Amino acid sequence: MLEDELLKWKFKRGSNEALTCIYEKYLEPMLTLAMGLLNDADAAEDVVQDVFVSFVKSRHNFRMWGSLSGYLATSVVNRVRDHQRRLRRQACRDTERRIAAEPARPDQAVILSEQAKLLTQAVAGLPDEQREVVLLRLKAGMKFRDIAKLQQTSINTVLSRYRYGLERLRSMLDGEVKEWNR
Amino acid sequence: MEPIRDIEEAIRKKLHVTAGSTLHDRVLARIRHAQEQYDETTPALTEPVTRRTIMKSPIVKFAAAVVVIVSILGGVTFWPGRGSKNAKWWLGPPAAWGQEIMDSLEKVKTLVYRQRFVFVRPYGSTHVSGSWERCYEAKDMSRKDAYYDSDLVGIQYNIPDGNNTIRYDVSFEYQCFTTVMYEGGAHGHDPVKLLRFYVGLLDKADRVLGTEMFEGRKCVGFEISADKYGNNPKEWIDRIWFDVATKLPVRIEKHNRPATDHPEQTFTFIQDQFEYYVELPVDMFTPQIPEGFVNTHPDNIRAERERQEKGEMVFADMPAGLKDEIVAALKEVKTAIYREGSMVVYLSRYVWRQDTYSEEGKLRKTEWFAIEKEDMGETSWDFNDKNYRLTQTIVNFENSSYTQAVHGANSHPQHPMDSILLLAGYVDLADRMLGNTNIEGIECFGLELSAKKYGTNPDGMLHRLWFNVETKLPVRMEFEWLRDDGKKSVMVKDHFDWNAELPADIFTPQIPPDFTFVEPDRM
Repeated sequence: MLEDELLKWKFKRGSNEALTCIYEKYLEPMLTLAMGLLNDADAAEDVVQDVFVSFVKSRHNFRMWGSLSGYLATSVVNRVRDHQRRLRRQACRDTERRIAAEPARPDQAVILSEQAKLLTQAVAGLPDEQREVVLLRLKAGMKFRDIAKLQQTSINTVLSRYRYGLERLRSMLDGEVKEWNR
Repeated sequence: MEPIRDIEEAIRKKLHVTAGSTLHDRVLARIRHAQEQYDETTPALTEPVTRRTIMKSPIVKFAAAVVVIVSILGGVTFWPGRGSKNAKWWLGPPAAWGQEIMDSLEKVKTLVYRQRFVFVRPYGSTHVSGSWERCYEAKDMSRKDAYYDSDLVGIQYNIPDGNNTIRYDVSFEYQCFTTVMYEGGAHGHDPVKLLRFYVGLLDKADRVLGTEMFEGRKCVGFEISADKYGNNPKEWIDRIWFDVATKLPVRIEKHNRPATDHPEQTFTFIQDQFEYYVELPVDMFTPQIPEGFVNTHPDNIRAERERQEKGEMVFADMPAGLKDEIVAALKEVKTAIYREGSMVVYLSRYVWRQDTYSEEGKLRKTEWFAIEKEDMGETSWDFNDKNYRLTQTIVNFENSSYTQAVHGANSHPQHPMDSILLLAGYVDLADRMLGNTNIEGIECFGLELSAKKYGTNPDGMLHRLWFNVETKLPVRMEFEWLRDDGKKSVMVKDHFDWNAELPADIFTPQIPPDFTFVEPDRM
């Protein structure tokens, strides 16, 4: 917490070192979140890059209340939503080209373990709202209250989405998870 | 339940994406490129900086500290009453319901709240300070996080050590810390002492303010003059707002406090965002001093930085009381007209108008500004940031269009008198006197003031001010700065007509019937 406050403070005053520290610290958590939400490595990289670029551009006037991790996680979710909206608009006329582009590029460098792949695919099978809640809670550590604010709904709805999401994941993954946790 | 916990654990621990070095370097390169481009396109500072200096001024800080001390020493009492079963309990005598609030407060073991300042200027402008604090109070210890906007700039801890209290001040802004021991100061800190004090005062309140919404809660307010609880001027007004439902304090306002050495403005001190019954982890009160921070007072580092940034500053031997005379004369002004470059400015309290002319003398644009506040009292102590509105109407005669924008308390155009009063407030720090001269047929005295005196401004940025020897009102004000090409630019305010008789409708927006409306951001 204190470290992040110091990083924010230095970053706002133009410290490249602070920006690099923030990048090193949050690149993979953001990538994991974006990947979990999109199940698309290319798009996840784009989203994370966009979030960082926007973060840099807001350096002089950004107002960040609360935690840096919460701010970045919220930014990722908003970018993912934008991305999904764009995809939906393009879906009819562009489906074939998009699918063709989805396989990893030769220089693709997102690395997932087998377990992570399985989990990512399972999470991808959740409805958007449940997926957001599960990932924001478990991967970004956000409070349900803050997720409710982000989703513009009540905390009870968020809790339900979380519960339904986990139930659904459990049924999809069946006995796999128990095995890993031994 | 077990499988669910398994799933949670699996996602927490096993769902992780690793960025390979290619991706890592590629994204980082793009971010750095974006940063370089952004840095190149960010405009350089061209206007004098005043904000941070005002907030960081030791004088204002001292004034603020005085208010805090007064409030803590003075204490406050609340009144809960007969009407605990009455929907409007506050209409009953405090003796009837005050004890209820006292009882509630007894149960409060920790307290979290925010405190901040609002600077109030006599012509209607307000300035919400970027400096604010989040206070965490627990039994025998406290912590205060100081912010500037969203940046944490320092933390103060008050921690018991045996029978003593140690105060740690950690400054992130200056990367330093200090520790001070207060002997015998331990075990005396009560998180709700201040609130109990206000509750205890309620039977002395001057008036009930009615109900208002604050922080999404319906609140009832009480107003009391500070002379009721101490040797304070009666113009110091406090307002305490209670949640109608819980009867707990939601907001405390201390109005009309003087900013020492800045007679051109007063300030309002606000405590709000109260949280009761919060669990504060013990480690919150463990002082954390980042590695490399030096053990010295921030003032030492600030002074050294200022010396490096600003160089040596010179000060004229100014006549005692001159600043107060100038400020007092300005605060009496009811109306004025003056010229500033290609613009003519008309002003009165809470309203002003700016007419901009082309070089040929043709009217290009007229802007009207009108401030609406909850109370238009002369002292402005009825400031309420919720109800502040500044309406700006612009008529553009060059393209036959008009627009209107409404600004809130946090960000709005400043009344023209603010910049004049601001400079008057620094007269005693002038670099040098300029000697008497005659301007526009008026005998004047002049002075030169470096813009460094009120902000981190460069060499060559200065003001030359001439005042009427008799009335002490400005006759000519020059602002000079060096452009990037090394040439000087000068902006002049002159042709002042103080307390001029103005046509009744001069501040009423006049929009020609055939003009078209455009959105404010397109104007």
